[in-house]
Amino acid sequence: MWKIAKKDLKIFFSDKKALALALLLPIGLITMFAFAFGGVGSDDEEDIPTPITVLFNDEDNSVTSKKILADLDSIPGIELISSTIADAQTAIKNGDNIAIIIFHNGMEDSLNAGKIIPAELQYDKSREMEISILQNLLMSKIAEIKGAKDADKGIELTVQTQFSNLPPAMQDSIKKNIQGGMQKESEEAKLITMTSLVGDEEANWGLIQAVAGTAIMMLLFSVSAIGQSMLEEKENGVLKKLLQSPIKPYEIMFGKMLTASIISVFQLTIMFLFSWVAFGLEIFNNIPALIIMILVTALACSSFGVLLSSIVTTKKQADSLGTIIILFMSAIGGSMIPLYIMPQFMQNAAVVSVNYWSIQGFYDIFWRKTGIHAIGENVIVLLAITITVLLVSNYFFKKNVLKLT
Amino acid sequence: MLRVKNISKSFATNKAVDDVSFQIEKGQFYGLLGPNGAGKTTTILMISAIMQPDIGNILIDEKDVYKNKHTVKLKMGIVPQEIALYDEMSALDNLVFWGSLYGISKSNAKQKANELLDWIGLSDRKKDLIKTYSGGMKRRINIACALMHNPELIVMDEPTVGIDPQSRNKIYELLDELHNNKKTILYTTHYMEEAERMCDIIGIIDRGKIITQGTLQELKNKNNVDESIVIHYEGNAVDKLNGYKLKNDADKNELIIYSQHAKHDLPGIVKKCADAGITILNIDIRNINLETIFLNLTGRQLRD
Repeated sequence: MWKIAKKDLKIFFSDKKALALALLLPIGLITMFAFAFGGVGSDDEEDIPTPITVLFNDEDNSVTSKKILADLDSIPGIELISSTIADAQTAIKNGDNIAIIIFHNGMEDSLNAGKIIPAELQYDKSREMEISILQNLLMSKIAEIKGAKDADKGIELTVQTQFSNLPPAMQDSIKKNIQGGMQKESEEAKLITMTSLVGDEEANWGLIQAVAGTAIMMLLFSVSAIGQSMLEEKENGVLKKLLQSPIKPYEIMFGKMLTASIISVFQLTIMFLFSWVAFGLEIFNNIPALIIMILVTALACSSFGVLLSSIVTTKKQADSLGTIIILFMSAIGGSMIPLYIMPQFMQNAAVVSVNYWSIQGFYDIFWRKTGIHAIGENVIVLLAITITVLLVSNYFFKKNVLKLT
Repeated sequence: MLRVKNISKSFATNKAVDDVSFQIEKGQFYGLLGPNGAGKTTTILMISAIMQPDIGNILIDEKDVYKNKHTVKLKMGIVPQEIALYDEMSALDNLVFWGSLYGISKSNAKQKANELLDWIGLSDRKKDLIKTYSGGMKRRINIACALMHNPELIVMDEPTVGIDPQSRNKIYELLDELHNNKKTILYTTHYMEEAERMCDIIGIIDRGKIITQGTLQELKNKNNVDESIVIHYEGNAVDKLNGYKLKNDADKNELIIYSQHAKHDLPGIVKKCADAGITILNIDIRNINLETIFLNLTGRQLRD
């Protein structure tokens, strides 16, 4: 028994690089999830979160509306920017902003008169958590003012009817005591009108997050397996025989890339069709944009498969490093958890991930239902990632894979 | 057809190939014989234009292989030491794939693949996946893959390693047929029987250097090696026998007596042994072969 264990341990510890990578994987994941969920690093003074930018349009321009906006703006983590309603709606639909607060004319008067307040919060439903916080803050500010005004009226009436015979100084004292002991009653739900600008009744942003996020993560696993086949071919002598044939070395690398890309397109298509059939995900809003996003996502993911097989020298290393790259990119890119719940520095780091650009692209198509122009940036970035990764892969392919002895 | 001129190749401090030169004429079967690690495969890698020599050059039909990689690769068919086949594909598909890399159209590749499968005796299993084949069958497919484009020069790197004698004999038959059809063949091996059996010219390589080359007869003549008479005895032997070199291995009860004309000298040797009181159990005459030549030149067995 010990002999078997000793042999296996010897093999396990023989590939130092693979061992280091195998240890790095859990350490890296623990660190990443600690930052994402555990609040690690939140005490760091330098890690001040970038505030949520919220647009506003104050048609009422009253003392009350200005006070509410000023109170909101003073909260750390919220930054208010004035905008026209049309510009704000476009920005929200394009995913550039999450919401606009609109105070229509007569807001203050309605508040004083106890009528329905002409205030609106127009928002992107996919940013559920941020909108929920914003909604609560906004409502509590309005309720604070409304509650104070309602209470003052009630106290005035009570003191005038019950304590009219007392001197004015005593009446004031009674008013203050009653105000101090009063609990504000909330009628917050009725205070403002909530309007989702992005996504219709059928659309389900959570489903889009689940499908796009998972599809891309699984795609990376598939292409890494294809990339690893190059290492197998090196180990079993097939690569050497390929090099002895008249085909050029770069044709071998790009042949693998082509295989991975075709399989990726096939896999993504099947996954989206399945989501359409099984979960009703509306995938046919913009077929040309969908095709383009599938193609560039497939290319970008495939290039990582080729990179993986080029930078390592054994299959064991490829297994460990592949898992690390895929899980890191998936975690910071939003495949595992929605990006907005992560700390700011992780959100900033997401831009290096294929997952981020792909998921955002699919959001634009399925959720925001935007045109091809809206995914232009995603397409360009994914193509740039593909080219950069292929150039790096080519360097390591010559250095590691083509080295025959 | 092939001229290898003074090639050398080093890896760090290890000189894998050291000033190797030889040439093969059209239709010749050249055997490069040497133990494992002698430099055979490195030489093949350089000839097949995927590894550049540090010095020296290699010409195929007077064209430098490094300056004319594409052209010379089309003229060569390489049978690697490894079974370089796709396990998850059928024999037919493997042959068609490897043929396609040499620019053969799909229909021609299929036709050629069927001919070759018939030739190697595996046409009835052509649609079976390679992973279901025996080692010997895979070796035959490995050879057929290299012949898909009808190469002028066939380079084989130990194509019979790790297979049973029956499969090996089948491969020898195929190689004989290629030889009879005037194919030019470069064949590396560490089995001296193979080199003796098939090769027109034999080059013996050891520690990166070709230590001798020529026909088998030329090697025997120029390397002044004695034949030997091996006597197994009972009891005691002698350490000296007048007029003969000998080696006594008392552990094995084996006496090796060297002679230039073993058959002729045998009666006299037997008599001298009897006179010396040696009880002979059996006698074996060992002729000069590549093993003895290699031993004589290097002081080591070919399979050390």
